[in-house]
Amino acid sequence: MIDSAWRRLGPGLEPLSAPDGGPLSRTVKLVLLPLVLRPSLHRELAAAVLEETGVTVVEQLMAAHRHQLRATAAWFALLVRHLATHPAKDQISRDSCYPKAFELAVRHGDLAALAAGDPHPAADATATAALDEIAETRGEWTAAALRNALADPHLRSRLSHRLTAGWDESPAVDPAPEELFEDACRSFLDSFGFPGETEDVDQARPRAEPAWTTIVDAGVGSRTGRALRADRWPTVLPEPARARQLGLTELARPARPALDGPAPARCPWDRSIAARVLGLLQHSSDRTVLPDLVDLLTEEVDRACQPWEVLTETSRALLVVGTLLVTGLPDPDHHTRAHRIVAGMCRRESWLAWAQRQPTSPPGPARDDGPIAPYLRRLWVRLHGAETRGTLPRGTEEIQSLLLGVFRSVLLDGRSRVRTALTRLHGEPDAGVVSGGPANPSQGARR
Amino acid sequence: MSPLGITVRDGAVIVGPDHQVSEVGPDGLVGQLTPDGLPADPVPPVTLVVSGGLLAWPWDVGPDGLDPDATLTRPPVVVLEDVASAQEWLWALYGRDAALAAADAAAPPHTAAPTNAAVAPVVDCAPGLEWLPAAAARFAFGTWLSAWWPASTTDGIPALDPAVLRAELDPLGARLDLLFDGAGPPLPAVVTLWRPASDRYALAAGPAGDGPAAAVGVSVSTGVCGTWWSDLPPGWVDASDRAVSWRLLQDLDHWWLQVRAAAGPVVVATEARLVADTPGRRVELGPDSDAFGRCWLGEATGTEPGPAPGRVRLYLPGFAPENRAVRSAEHWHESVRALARTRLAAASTPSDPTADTRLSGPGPAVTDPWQAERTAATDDDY
Repeated sequence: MIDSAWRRLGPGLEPLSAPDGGPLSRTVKLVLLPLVLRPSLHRELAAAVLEETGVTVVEQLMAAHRHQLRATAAWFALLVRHLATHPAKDQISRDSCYPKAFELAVRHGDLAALAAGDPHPAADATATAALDEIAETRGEWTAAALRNALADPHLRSRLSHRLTAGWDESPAVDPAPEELFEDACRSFLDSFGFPGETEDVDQARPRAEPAWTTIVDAGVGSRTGRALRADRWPTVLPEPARARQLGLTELARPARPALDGPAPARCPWDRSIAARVLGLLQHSSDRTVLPDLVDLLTEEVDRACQPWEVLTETSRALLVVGTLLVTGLPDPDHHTRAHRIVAGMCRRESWLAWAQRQPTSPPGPARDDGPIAPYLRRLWVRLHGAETRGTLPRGTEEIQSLLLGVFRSVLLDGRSRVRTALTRLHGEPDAGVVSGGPANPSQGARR
Repeated sequence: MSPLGITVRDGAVIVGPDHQVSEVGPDGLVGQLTPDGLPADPVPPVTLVVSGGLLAWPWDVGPDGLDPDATLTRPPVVVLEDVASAQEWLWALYGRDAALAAADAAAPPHTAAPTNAAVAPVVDCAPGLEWLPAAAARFAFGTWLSAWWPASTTDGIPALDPAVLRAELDPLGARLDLLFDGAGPPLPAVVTLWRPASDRYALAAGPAGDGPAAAVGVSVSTGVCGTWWSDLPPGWVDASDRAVSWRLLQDLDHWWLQVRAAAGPVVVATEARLVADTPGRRVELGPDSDAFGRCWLGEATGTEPGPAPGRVRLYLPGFAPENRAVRSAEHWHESVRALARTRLAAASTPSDPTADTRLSGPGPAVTDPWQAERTAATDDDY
């Protein structure tokens, strides 16, 4: 759809097009969808498959932006050319040039209007300034701003006090009707699957919503979170579910995070407040949706004090259900449908490793932590980001697809890790050897 | 064009030629695994990882063995775990109807009656980009060759140079951008190839080396075998089914097991170690060379008497599971060798201009010889 509308726009779009004339998938993802088509503003475009009216809207929007898109293509080519020699080129991803090129096209219009002749100093200066801006909004600038903010003694003492008080006031663990929790969690995990896949799935799907409501309303997340904080074993989770086994901390017992600290930590609950905020800023492509720095720090302090170190009951419930999903994998007798789907992903992954003659685990000593720690770490980081941006999943379908999507990305990480490990074992050229070119460890590192 | 079937299995939507979709196992595997994780159908299919899922072309076996033309000119089976991401290319590879049917299978309109998954809906395959299926198939075939090409000095099958293959795969992968969501195509690594510096050829299955044990022990038994290819990265060990030789020596108190494997074309780091397993005994092998050429050598000793090994299993720890049953692989290895020999023969003659599997515009057909095959076929060293 987008492809044919793109082709009809005519020449001048080559820098943003694939060799066959269609748009690059990056163009679609970073320019056309978020900046031109904007499905959030055009409800007809929100569905994965467009109805007739949606098709017309796509045609109209693309045609209306014809000049802007041509200008974007020209600016993009210029930005990429300057990027190669820009002093901060390592901090600027090529991806960030797509929306920036669109911004320049909107602000300055056609490159040709600004720059009669090539090279043109005005256009070159604008492109360089735009790259400086990208570099500033990422990396160093962010870390420096954070350091400056925390250098203010008033803010520092306010945050410190808030953190100490908040951490200490966590209430004791409530006794809770465990059977209710277990039933609700199992019902929810059993409601996964495609509509129409089997009769069982169709019967189980309507139970997802009431089960989720029960989990959230009964505060299963808060209760288990408090138990983890107290280093008790929350019985709704299978033994040995303690924070350390779940990979959320490396300490024997979760400890109050520092306000800031030098060492980057592997586990999310061991990271300082400043490190958590920095993580948010660096991974955010659109910083306009984030609140300002002081608000972010205050919110982060409050978050750290809460059960599971997240702010919302939805996030906590997701962490409980996610824990049940990954810790339940080794025991096929107790598998729910969600477990079977995830086990299916693992089987397909090992099938793929065989079909492509790739390793199934990194060469060297076997890793025994399995997917539990990587899964929960990633789920926590996703929820952390989603809370700050207000993009928590809504509705059971989104919740289910988040739980499965995190597992998929853990598997994909595993793929690139083992390939990198294997690349290291390939020898260097030496005497009597014809070089086959540089080994490429980044291959396989997708997503 | 050909009819496509669509079905759902444990969290995956599967689209592909109708007869192949109906053969997909309950867990969405194209071709089944046995309980110990080995494929029931041993010739690995041609595969390609794309955004949201995986394309697979299961092998078609004709009267002359593996038939790449029949295999690669039909639409692949696709296993989709993320149908929404795949919508970016489903229309281009299979057509609009298939894209709509896949979307329906993942989330049918709420008004529709539940579909019965046992009856797969069938739609026509009408690619939105006509050149795409052939280009994807050729790219996937190139990566398959880089993984499974049976390079062996013993069998007289020259290696494909990974750099030459990559030079041809790179531009092809760039054309397939749509399938990879901008993440870049899954290209095989370029590794260093060893080439004989003189006219001294490596003999694959020479006798196991003359270690210190040879002087004192009495040779009890010797043997020659091959490897199970998926136990090792491509090119690490000669692909011949006579690549591995072993010798068991014994005196009154001790046994020594010496294992030698002919090296494959790939140069590996000196710290790389393989393991040769046989019931009750385990030998670690490192890269080395001896009077017969480049090889992997290792020796183990012990006091517990045990049976003479019938066969040893050579693997890279971590690459393949430690305790996998040793299976004979001669049959499917031979069919891949036959394919390699046919392709080398074709690569040494000019290509047929009337081939009907052309990609759009000028360019090689799906199964035309690769430059790496032409180079290998005319390599004077073999």
